[in-house]
Amino acid sequence: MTRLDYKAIIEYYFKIKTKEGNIVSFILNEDQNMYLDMLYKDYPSMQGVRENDLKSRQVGWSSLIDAIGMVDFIWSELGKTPLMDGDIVSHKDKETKTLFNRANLFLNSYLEIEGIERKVFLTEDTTDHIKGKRGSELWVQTASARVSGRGGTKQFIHWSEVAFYSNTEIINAEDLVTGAERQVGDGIGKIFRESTGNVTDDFFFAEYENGKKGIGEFKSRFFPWWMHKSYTRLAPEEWVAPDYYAKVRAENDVKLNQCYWHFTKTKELEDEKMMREYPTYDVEAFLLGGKPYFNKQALLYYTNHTQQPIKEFLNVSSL
Amino acid sequence: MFRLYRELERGEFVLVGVDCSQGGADSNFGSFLSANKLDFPISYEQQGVAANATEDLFPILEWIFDITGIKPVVAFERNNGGASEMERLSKLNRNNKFEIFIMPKIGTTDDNQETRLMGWNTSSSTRPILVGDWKDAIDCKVIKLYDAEVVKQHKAFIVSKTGKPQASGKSHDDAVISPAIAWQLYQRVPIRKIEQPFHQVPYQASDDVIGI
Repeated sequence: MTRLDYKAIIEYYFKIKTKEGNIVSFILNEDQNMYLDMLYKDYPSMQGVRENDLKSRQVGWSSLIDAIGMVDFIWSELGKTPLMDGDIVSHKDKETKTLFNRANLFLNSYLEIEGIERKVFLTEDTTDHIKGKRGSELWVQTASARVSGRGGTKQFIHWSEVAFYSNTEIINAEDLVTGAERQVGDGIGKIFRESTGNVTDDFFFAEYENGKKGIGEFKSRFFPWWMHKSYTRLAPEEWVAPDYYAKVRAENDVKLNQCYWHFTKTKELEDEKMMREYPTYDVEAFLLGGKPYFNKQALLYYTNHTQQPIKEFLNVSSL
Repeated sequence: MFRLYRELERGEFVLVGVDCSQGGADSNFGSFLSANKLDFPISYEQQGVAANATEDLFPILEWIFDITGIKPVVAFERNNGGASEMERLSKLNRNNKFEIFIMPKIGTTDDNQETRLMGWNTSSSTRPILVGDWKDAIDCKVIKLYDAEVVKQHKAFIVSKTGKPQASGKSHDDAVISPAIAWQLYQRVPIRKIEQPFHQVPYQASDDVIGI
């Protein structure tokens, strides 16, 4: 199957609302380009995409993922790819509305450039659902027992902030997510679970850990705060970066001003919730169920002294 | 999968603690402590059950002896099938290239200090010693840890609301328990050195007068 050039399509057709409220062309930022390259590398045909993405707050992942979903929707309506039925699911109503508005903006900006009327392109157009003339559909919903169902077939699901879905006796994230995902056939379509971390008790934590160990079909990726270069603040001249930043600075191109941004954002590394929102290491992205047993300074020392193995092997004969 | 962080040297005494998996997403985890350098040059982490750990570890234990010249001492935690795997590993040791740790009696004044149990027996009386001694070693930075997974699991090891030290939520503790077992071996097993071959020193009288 030939792959769509998502970057070219998105940047040519789609518009997006900036943090300042301006409507501009959706030009992928450095992080989004990097992520798209990762996807192309691991899924050359962009089919069978299965992603657990643990990220920092506000890095633009969900915009890119929904833009990919909208490209699939439009191109399937143009008859260039098979029909698609997709879901975008958020953790709360307000966010769901935001996601739907953004998806609509993508669609409208495409239709505007091509000079197509929305009512000509769509047969159904409600506040949470669009359906094209050929039959492709896209739903935007809040995570609840009513989401998605189990019986149909889907080709695209974006679970936004999946770590924050309700866990009650009636419905829990695991049942909701895994139940709906059974509608996406093996080796086809795209499933993105994208979230900041929450707690070590939840479904997303377990799935993220499994993905890291290669258990199951989902790939787990971690995107720390420092990858987002706009997270920076001019550090006072006398400010010295604490040891906490030693390893990450030694191993990556992390500037002093970036560290200072993180240092102030996390209230001098003391605000656990902000450390979770902007994690340096993936273990920080999930709040613990109690106080750490080992001394924090000692753990920092050990973190700064971890090494890459010189060899990995399963059998002595391979040495 | 074994992760090697530095080459082993001749004369190193290696102590191996293993936390056996109960299957599923859980992993067998082994930590190889060098008694000479107080670091962990090798980590072992592999999905499977306890029986798989025996198959993976047996050749490595022999390989360690071939390099270091000293028999490594190994203890599986006896839970999750570790007890029977200790027995199997013992029977596999036909070349006598490693030793199995025998669990001592803890918290008694019994003259006989051996339980005759192979491996490390975690119980309500031994667990506080296991994790407590290990906390002292970690907090005082006595040992060197290279493995990122080991450090990560230590970060997610907490004191629960009931006061019990344990893994938080759905995180794992096998990379905490296995080095803690190796640390117990370090404290309880006498240090071994390469046995020097016996060379008879020819008799030399210190003077001409022998006896009185």
